[in-house]
Amino acid sequence: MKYIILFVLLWMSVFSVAQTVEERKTEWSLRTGTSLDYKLNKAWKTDLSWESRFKDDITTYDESIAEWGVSYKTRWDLKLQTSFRHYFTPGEPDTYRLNWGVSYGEFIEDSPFEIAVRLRYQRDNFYKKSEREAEPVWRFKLSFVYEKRSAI
Amino acid sequence: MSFVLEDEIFYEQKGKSEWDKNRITTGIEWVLNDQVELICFYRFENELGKVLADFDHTLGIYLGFSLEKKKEDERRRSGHPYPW
Repeated sequence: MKYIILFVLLWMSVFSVAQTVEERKTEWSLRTGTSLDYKLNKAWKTDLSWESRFKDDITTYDESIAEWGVSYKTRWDLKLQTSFRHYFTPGEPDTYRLNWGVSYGEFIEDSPFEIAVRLRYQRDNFYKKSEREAEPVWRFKLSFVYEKRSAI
Repeated sequence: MSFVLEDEIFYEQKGKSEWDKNRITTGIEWVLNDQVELICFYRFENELGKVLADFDHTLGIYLGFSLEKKKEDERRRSGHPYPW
């Protein structure tokens, strides 16, 4: 009897979840683009990029993005980054995104393993709108990298 | 060649501030020669704080071509992110 009770208790949650009808629709999209990076010197780098997006199972043009970024690598290997992104969306007012970030990567001693972190603050907004319209977002990224090298 | 595993979390600060979404990316980078690199990645992204959250699967290919040959010590990356 106790096994029947245990079985019912364990499966109760499954039955209750199964009653929720999920309505999901799978949609394919495509993003394609190109970028041009220019290294001014050991510290400064700039890049220009363009991206076009297609939605509705890649049948409809969605929007395009132009972006200009600048990064500066400090003497402590801390990288400061900023970028400006302009969205060209048909039928909608043009919007932009401003981005500021800081990143740091460190190889674990002389091993091929690297840990990197990046913190970014971004603001999306329409042009000619008040600051209240802005959508600020904080982003935090943690990266683990294994770099197989021939000989360094 | 490099293998990368990343997690990025988004926190939206509008009205009721909340965790917005999470993005997990894994990829492989091949340095084909002094000027060409190829990166392939897979990304899983899901909304947070919603009962029926949307999620995205992304497959990406990045081909980078350097006009100037990279020096040996420049090949070792530091301070990612990758260009995805």
